[in-house]
Parts: sequence; structure tokens; C-alpha cells
Amino acid sequence: MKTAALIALLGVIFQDGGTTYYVGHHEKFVNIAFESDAAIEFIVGTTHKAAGEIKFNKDKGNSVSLTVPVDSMKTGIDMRDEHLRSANWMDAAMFPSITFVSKKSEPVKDKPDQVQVTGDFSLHGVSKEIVVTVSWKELSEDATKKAGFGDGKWVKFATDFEIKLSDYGIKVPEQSAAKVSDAWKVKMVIYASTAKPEAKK
Amino acid sequence: MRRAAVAAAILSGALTVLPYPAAAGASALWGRDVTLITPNADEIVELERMTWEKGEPVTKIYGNPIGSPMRVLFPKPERIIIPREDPSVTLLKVDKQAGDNPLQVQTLWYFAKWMMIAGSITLVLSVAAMFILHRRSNLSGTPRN
Repeated sequence: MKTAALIALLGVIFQDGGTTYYVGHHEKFVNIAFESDAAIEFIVGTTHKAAGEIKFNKDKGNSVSLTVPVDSMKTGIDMRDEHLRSANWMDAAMFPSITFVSKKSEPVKDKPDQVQVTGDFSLHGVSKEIVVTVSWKELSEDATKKAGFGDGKWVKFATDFEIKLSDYGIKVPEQSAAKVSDAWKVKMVIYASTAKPEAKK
Repeated sequence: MRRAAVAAAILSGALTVLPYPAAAGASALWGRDVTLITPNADEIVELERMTWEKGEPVTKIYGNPIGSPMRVLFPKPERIIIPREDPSVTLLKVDKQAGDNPLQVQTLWYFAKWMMIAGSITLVLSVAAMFILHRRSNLSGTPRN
């Protein structure tokens, strides 16, 4: 009895106070866009599928682990999406997911609603450390209930960053350079809840 | 042969001169300046509207804004949003999951440029061919006394 109480007390003392928020309740809570600005066209693609956890403690002790399936990414043209998934590009068969796992986070000076997160971004089997600035906003229970969000406490997270395909072993062929840029901007808006997503049957 | 060269020159001339005005005309007649957004679900729009504060970007209520405002051709009216919070903004919902792919004026200008370049090259070649054929017919004509 005394041992159990001591363990519980130690748990209270040493916990970092972060709350775990879950991503992946429903597609409507994930809005990820990726953009390529090339000479012929400004290509936009989207995905509404992501799963993972965000341990959120406002300015410190935050951690993120997110997974996005490559085959959920769509650019509006089926043939282009097939190319995107093919071995010459993202190679979805070999590398089915894009992931981000954080290593550390720091507050942003003079911006209490932002944190800077450093982590490993993995695409096409290559992992690179990137630093992203994440804005967050706690959503009132009243508002989320009225909007029909579901159980739990909800927080909105938003970030945008840029990556280069060539950094991840994806070479844009010369004949496609006018259609597809090496540099891609990623814009993410995710609503996460303390309630766990329902397990998919 | 000369007739073919003349016809080629006329067509090339048209290809050189017409694409830019055609693109400009199409843009003026059927284009619209919009901010593309990947749209939010209705529940998200409702929540964002409830939590929106004046001064914040209006686009975030309706979706994830993409790039800078751009001109697109033939935008579907049902995909256009004029936010009541800021009627000076025109948003175009682009649902990539549903296959939306609006035609960008940028694409039109790109092809107009290359048509003009191709037209210029064939125009030069056609005029050169006309000149060569004209000289040949002069040289093979009856000599002057």
C-alpha cells in the first residue's frame, strides 16, 4: 500500500504535465495541402488522412508523432496521382507512409500561441531533420459541442513548411521540370482531441 | 511549292501573333481572380466562424488557403465563396479528393508563349523557303537580252 502510494506520488512529481491529443478521428479534422509552383501549373494536392499523437504542454515538453499514407494524396488528376505513387516518384509500394516524429520543442519568443518543433521528417525512405513552427489554439468545449465535434477536449494545430523532393531521393526528371517543382510547400491544419479515435473495423 | 511556303508563312504568322491576344482575351472574358482553398467540412466552418475574431484572415474559416491569389478560367459558380465576413475576398473551393482541377491562366500563358516561339521559328523558315523558291524561279526563267 505504502509502495503504491509512493509510486503514485513520484508519478505526480515527475510527470511533464503534457496532455495527449489524438489525430485520426475523421477525415474532416485533417486538412493537409501540398503545393508545387512550376512554370506550366501551380499544382495543389491534398490529403485528409493522418494518424498519430500530439503530446501538448503549450510551450515545453511537446511531442508529435504523425503518419500520412502516401496513397491518400490526390492532385485532382488520376494519372498524375498514379505517377506520384509510382516508383519514379514517391514509390508508395515501397514507402507507404510519410512520417514526422519530433525530437524537441521550444517556445517562440513573443508568440505565446506558437512552438518551434524539431523532428525527423521521413519521405521515400529518407529521414531528415526539419524545424517547423506550429500554431495552436485550444477550442472551447462549448464551441466544439455546438459544432458537433465529438468527445474530448480539442486543440487546433497548424503549420506550414517547405521540403525539397531531391533531399529525399526523388529526382524531378528534366522533361517534367516545367510541370513539377523540386520545392514543395506543405500546409497542415489538424484538429486533435483528448478522446482516442474509434478503432476502425 | 511556293504556294505551300506562302500558306506555311501565313499560318506561322498567325501562330506567332495570335496566342498572346487570345490568352489575354480568354483571361479577360472568362477569368476570375480567386484565392484557392482546400475546403473545410461544414462542422469546421461552423466552429471556425464561432471562434473567428475580426482582423484574423477570413480564409481560415472556410479552408486551408493555397498559394497566392491567382486567375483561373471558368471557375464553377458553386465552388465560389464570397465570405460574408469579408466580401472583398473571393475564394474557390478546390476539392482534390473529388478531382477538382481548375484551369489556371498561368497555364494558358505558358502555352501561348511556346506557340509564339514555335510560330516565329516556322515563320522564319517559311519566309526563307519563299525567298529561296522565288530566286530559283527567277534564275530558271528566260535570260534578259
